[in-house]
Amino acid sequence: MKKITFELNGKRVSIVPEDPQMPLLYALRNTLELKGPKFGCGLGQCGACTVIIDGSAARSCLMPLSAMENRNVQTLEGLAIGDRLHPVQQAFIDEQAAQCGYCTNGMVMAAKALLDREKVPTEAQILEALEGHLCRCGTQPRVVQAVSRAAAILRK
Amino acid sequence: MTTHPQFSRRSFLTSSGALVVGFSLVSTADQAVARAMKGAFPAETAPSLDAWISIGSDGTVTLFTGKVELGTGIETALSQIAADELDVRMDQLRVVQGDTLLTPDQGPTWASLSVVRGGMEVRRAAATARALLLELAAKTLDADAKRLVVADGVVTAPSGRMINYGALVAGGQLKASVDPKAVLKPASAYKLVGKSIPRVDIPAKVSAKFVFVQDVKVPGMLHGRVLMAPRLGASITGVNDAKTRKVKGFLRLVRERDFLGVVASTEWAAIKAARELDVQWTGGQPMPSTATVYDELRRAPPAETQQLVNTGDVEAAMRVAPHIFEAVFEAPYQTHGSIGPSCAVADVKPDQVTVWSATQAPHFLQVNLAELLGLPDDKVRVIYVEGAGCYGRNGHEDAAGDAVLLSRAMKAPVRVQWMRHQEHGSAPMGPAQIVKIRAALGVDGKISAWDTDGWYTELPKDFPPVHMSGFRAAGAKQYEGSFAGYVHANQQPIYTIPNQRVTAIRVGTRHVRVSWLRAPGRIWNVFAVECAVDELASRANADPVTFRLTHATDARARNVIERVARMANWLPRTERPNSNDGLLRGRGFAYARYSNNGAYIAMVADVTVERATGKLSLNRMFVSHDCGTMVNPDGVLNQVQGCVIQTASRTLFEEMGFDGTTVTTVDWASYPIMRFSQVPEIVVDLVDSKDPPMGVGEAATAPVPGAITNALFDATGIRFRRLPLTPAHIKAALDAQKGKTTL
Repeated sequence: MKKITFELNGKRVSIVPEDPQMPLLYALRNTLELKGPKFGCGLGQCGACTVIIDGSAARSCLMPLSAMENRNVQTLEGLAIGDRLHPVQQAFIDEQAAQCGYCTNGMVMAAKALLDREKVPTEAQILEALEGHLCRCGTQPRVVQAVSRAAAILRK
Repeated sequence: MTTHPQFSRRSFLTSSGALVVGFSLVSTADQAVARAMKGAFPAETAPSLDAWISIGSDGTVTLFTGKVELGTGIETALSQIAADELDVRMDQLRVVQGDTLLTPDQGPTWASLSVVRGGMEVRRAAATARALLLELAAKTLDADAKRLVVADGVVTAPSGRMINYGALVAGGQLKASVDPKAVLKPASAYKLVGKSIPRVDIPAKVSAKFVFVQDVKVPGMLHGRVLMAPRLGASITGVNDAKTRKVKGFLRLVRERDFLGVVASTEWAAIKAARELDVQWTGGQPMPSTATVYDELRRAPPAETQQLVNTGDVEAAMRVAPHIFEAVFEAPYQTHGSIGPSCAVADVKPDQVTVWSATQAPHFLQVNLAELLGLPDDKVRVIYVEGAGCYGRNGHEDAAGDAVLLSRAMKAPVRVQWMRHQEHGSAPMGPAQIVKIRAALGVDGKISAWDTDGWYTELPKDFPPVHMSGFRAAGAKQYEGSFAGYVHANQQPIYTIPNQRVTAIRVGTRHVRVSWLRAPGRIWNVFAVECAVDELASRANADPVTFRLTHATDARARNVIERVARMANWLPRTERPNSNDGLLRGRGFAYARYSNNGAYIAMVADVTVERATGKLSLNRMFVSHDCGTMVNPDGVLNQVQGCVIQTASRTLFEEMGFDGTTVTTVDWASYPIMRFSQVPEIVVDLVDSKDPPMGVGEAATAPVPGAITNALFDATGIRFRRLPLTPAHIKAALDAQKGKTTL
């Protein structure tokens, strides 16, 4: 069984997976005991499992471990620096942009990936980045507000 | 990692010093529920637990509640109430919720009653505790209790001497019962209640610190997946596990009659093992096809017909009325659509069972499981751990039953996570509903009579327990049938109408399990009423808003109706505007009082419809919302926005599909819900009120379908009476209309 090594939240990790086709989501949640990325559908349809891989938002439920060699992965756990939350996280708190919070991981990671590339996103760009993310509680207006707010803070 | 410490209540309380306020938090109504429910199991009734506020020697206040945080913010609201009454800060108070070992049975968290009933109970407990602490402080500080001042848990006497709550209780165990006459703070003294205090759970949720039920891990935990029948009542005729046995990590097949599960040492192995299992099913309840759902419901033999209202003389009024209106409204089966599929962890030991579950009703689940396992209630502990929003009873209890069955077989803790297609296809659904309305307009242009029949796919039994699909498949005896609750609420129109007949036709479970989905029964009743009233307004040549006001005498109803009309700049329509850009434009109005006794909500919807495709865009929704006193205004706003978006999604897109053998809508591709680009602008007016609080979690769902459907009429001239309002549905109607007018 081949060892797979990648960078996770700034640290190198190695996994020897029983099945290299296992989606990254289960390695993160079970092998590495993270809670950020969520199982929502396992089909790439809802976005709850979103992580950032080499700078782009990606659905960890669809990424086999075999494709992860030498990649750079960031999860929700990796956004804060010590106790200091990332501006996107803080903006979600300031806008109270959550109800149950289950989709929040995907929203925050997608927003972070967007704002890493786009300093002054238009509303259209924000909606495009979030279009593939489902929220059943109906927090979308607050989420869009939070992303705009975070963008403004990051620009300072 | 989130093991909850295994301790008895007694050991929890014998830390060094505590003030414990014990009382029965169960309101008389919920008490009756709990008793009636327990009466369904003749074997055993467990003593009801006392509820507690405890104050530790470090000054931390712990509030134990049976009501649980489902994602709507009630943990924060109840904390505000308790902290205000006790004069402590929010960060000095923590909540333990929904743990049958530790928290009182406040009844399930449902019906938007958590703040209304639960909040009052918490307030009295906190006031009792504060009074006691002041008595103690008066002695310690040698002062008159009435002249003491409390802030942040510190008591100060006029002399300047002070002592904090922690020091007051240190070294002793103090117990008290809730004083039903405890003096409560006047609203003028509130520091937290009435303010938009930030949610206590959101910071953990944005930083991966929050533990959802899907995140629960216990030592030695195994992973299970359940194979589910393609339709209700189907049985297994064959199982081929040849490929399953080859999956590395697979441990065992568990089979009890038609309950079939796989257990593995890792989650991925369990998923593969289940996928590789070849199972043959046969029989079961016949399924409709999507197109025959309403015929099936209409033709089902009624289990019971109830005359809910019979006032005046409907037939006499109909005989003399110049206008008679009749229509049938239809709403489909829908799924709760939780983003996180149902999940539970169970640890079944011979004499102690622990279950971690996101159930709305931990105490119901406890009693059910105890009965099914042949154990006394107090040997079963259900610990509530929040899941994704469930919006009613979805599959959480079933997942708990599945986990219990697998854990019992494996003699180890087992986690069961339902897959997406199982959540959509096997969790109970919001039932389809038909509402027939026959109404009369009198010579004065007012509604003179109203005669309505409603078909409900639930039986009016006494409170049954939560019926779990795994135990049913395994052949265990469970109470059959489901509880109707007050799903007929809102079938009676809220308007002033002298002659009324309201009939509820209850039919048994047809093809799928049904349960409560946000605003059960009420949502489609209001859809029907508001569409019918809108049509009657047209017949009376009256403006829709004016027509509502003509029939509404309640000042609070008139208030929200007038406010939303003003906010939306509602103008009487003299003629439909011309459209030469392929887009039809319209606006519609709807009003409801939730359950006819709750919050008052009025809405105006602005829509555009693409003629070529039938696609409806909900551009804007104006809402005026009066729910009485608001404990947390931003919490209310969050719920109003959520209700509008979720219900707009249900109105425009959602319909469970069947193909005669099974459910066909089993993922987000086959059952789309509203996306970011489709979300309307929502303009909300929260009425500032000192009236008693009313439930908020569901109320603002009710007028949404009516407002949109009436807007669609304004845009197209076509009355729609069946949901959802999909592009295909709208286009077909537009084409038919075009066909008619070119003749």
